[in-house]
Amino acid sequence: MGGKTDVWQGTLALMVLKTLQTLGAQHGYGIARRIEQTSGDLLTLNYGTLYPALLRLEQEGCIASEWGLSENNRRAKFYKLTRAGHRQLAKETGNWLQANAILARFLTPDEPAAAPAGGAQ
Amino acid sequence: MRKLRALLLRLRGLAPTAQAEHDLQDEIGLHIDLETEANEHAGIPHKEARRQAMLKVGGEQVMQAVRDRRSLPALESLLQDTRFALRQLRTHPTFTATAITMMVLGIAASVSIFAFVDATLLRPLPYREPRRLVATTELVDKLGPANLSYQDYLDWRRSNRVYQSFAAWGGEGFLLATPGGTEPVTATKVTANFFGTLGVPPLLGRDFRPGEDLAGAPRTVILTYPAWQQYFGGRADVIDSSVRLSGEAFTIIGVLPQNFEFAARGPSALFVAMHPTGECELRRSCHNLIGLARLKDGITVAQADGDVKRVARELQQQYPGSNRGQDGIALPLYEQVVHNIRPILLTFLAGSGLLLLIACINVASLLLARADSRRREFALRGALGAPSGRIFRQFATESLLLVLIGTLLGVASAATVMRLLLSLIPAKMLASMPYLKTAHLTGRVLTFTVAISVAAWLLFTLIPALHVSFTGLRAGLMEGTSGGGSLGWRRLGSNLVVLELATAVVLLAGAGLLGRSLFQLLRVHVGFDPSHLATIFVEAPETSYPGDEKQLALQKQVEARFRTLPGVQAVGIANLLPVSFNGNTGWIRFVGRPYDGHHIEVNERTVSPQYFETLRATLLHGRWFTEADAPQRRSGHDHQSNLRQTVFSRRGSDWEAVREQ
Repeated sequence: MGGKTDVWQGTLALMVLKTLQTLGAQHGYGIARRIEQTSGDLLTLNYGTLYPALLRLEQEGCIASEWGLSENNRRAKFYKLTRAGHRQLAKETGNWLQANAILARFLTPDEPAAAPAGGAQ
Repeated sequence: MRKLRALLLRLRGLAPTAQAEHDLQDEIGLHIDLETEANEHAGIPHKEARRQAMLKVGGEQVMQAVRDRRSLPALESLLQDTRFALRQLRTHPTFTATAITMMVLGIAASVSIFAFVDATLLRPLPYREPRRLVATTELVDKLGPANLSYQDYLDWRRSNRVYQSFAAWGGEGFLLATPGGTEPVTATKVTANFFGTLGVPPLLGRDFRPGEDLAGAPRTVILTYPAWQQYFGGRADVIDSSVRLSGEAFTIIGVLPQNFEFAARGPSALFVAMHPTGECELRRSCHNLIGLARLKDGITVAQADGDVKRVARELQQQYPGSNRGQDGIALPLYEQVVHNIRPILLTFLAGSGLLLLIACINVASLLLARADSRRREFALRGALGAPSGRIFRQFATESLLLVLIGTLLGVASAATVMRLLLSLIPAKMLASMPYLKTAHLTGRVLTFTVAISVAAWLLFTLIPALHVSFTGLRAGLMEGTSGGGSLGWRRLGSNLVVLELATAVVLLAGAGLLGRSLFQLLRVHVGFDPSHLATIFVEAPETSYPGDEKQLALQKQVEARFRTLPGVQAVGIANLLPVSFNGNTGWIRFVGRPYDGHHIEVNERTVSPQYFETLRATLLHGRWFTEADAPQRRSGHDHQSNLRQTVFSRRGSDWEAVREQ
């Protein structure tokens, strides 16, 4: 293993939503940096998927955008979470944690399997 | 919900705005700038920092991904194809008009004929469980399925083992007094269980009750919906009121549903309960009814046919005088209704199908020729990077447009064609085929339309597309001149022409034969001069003119009055028009020739002495009737009497037979 991992299918939207919840209104670059930093620079983000994902979330009403000024005084598009986005985030977070817990139970090593009722040998 | 919202927004994105594009460039540009700055912070020189930023962000690639997400790329290219195809069709108006006209002709013809086929052959008869209904009647050598006598009907009903219910019906006619004068109305006399057998309850009032079809019962009538509207103003209080039909009082007990039809009988305004008191009903050898029965559960028509034949055989032994040679038959009611029109409809359907085929081949050839002349265009598009799927889709879009326009116009004209065809059928003939009037664009007809459209679309797409792909894009580009024509195209094109010509020959031969038959039919020598003849129906009910004397006196009066009309040269009277047939037959025996056990059955009609002169008929031997023959001819109904004056037509041998008397 080692090296960087690509963002898994379907998790990018969740990361974007979580980022916006944590940081508040943010432009695309800010979101990208935050995701990379949070992953401890283990993730490479494909911008070919980030911006379409942002557009999709906006079309679906999870985030809203407005134009403002960036830290270097440039015209920038800021995204923020909508109420529907908050709901969506809560739902998907729950799903992920549950899925993780299940997988963890499967994959945790050295856990003694429940002995068969009859007991062998 | 969220998906729907996104879809709607993407649909709106189909119309791109300059603002959206500008915003996109700003957004991605900012990202690259910020990325560059970050790289510079890390100590990378500006040029290299920018290069790395652009590599990482992706620039144009990202923007295209966003643009794709902004609208629906598949739909967008479809719209593009459609716009392009429309432009193509507009810039070649002659081609477009020809192709669409051919499609419309083919589709209108086949769809309208199919609608009639659907209404007649495919739709079940409008009765309860129509598959269990059979027509059952007597069968004689000379006529095939003939009529059933009332006496035989009673025996059949009693002795059969296959029918849940067994009704009988026969033609009838009445004179009805209306405010506008006395009108003849068509009617059907039925046994009381007739509507029960069909499974049709009346709309108003009640059905006939058991026993109302017996001799002693008061007379009852059920109106059809049109008769109720026409003669009784659609009033509900007609139920239980009395009406005089040919001078006799009938009680109206019910009205039939609006959509009721009984095609086996043809037009009938009224249905009256049978009143078996007439001479015919009492005589076993008088056949004037047709049986209608509902099969018991699990009985097949073949079983019913066998059982009816068994009963008929028993009756032959029991009543040899009247029933010799009288077999029985049971066949599906559906067969009785459609067997005359089925071959006509199938001929039309085949004809219109061939016409459609010719139209499609024509359009396909046109498209092929055009694809050939457009080879350079496609070669160029291919060279500029258009994927072959996209070029194929271009063909599909163009032919889809053609087929769509052709189908829509074709279906619209089919409705007109159907009205036109219906108006070509004589009203009397149409009245006996009520199901034709119910032809319209049903689901089945539309399915048929869609099926032929899809087939045409595939044909129109595949033929030019295969041509272009076989020819090869490179060859198309190199050939330089347009319309060079390759061997493949010539082979495919000439095969299409061969197929089309063959189809056209089949169609022409069929049409020619039909025309020839009609021509022959119009020139059949009928044995008299059919020009300058006018016919008129006179109805004189027994109640007003009882007895032969009065009937004969009326005949003479009618003849005399007509003869005084200007332009009238001769007047004859018959109970049946020439060249028509109603199954009236009689059995004859020759004086002096021993009866050999075989009935000699001959067609029969009653005529006045001047009948043949009026027709200008050709006389082979002997003489016509004279006034002196008339009283003998009308010697009541003594069927044992010798037919002294009988005109034999057809063969000389018949004449020899008569001379033997």
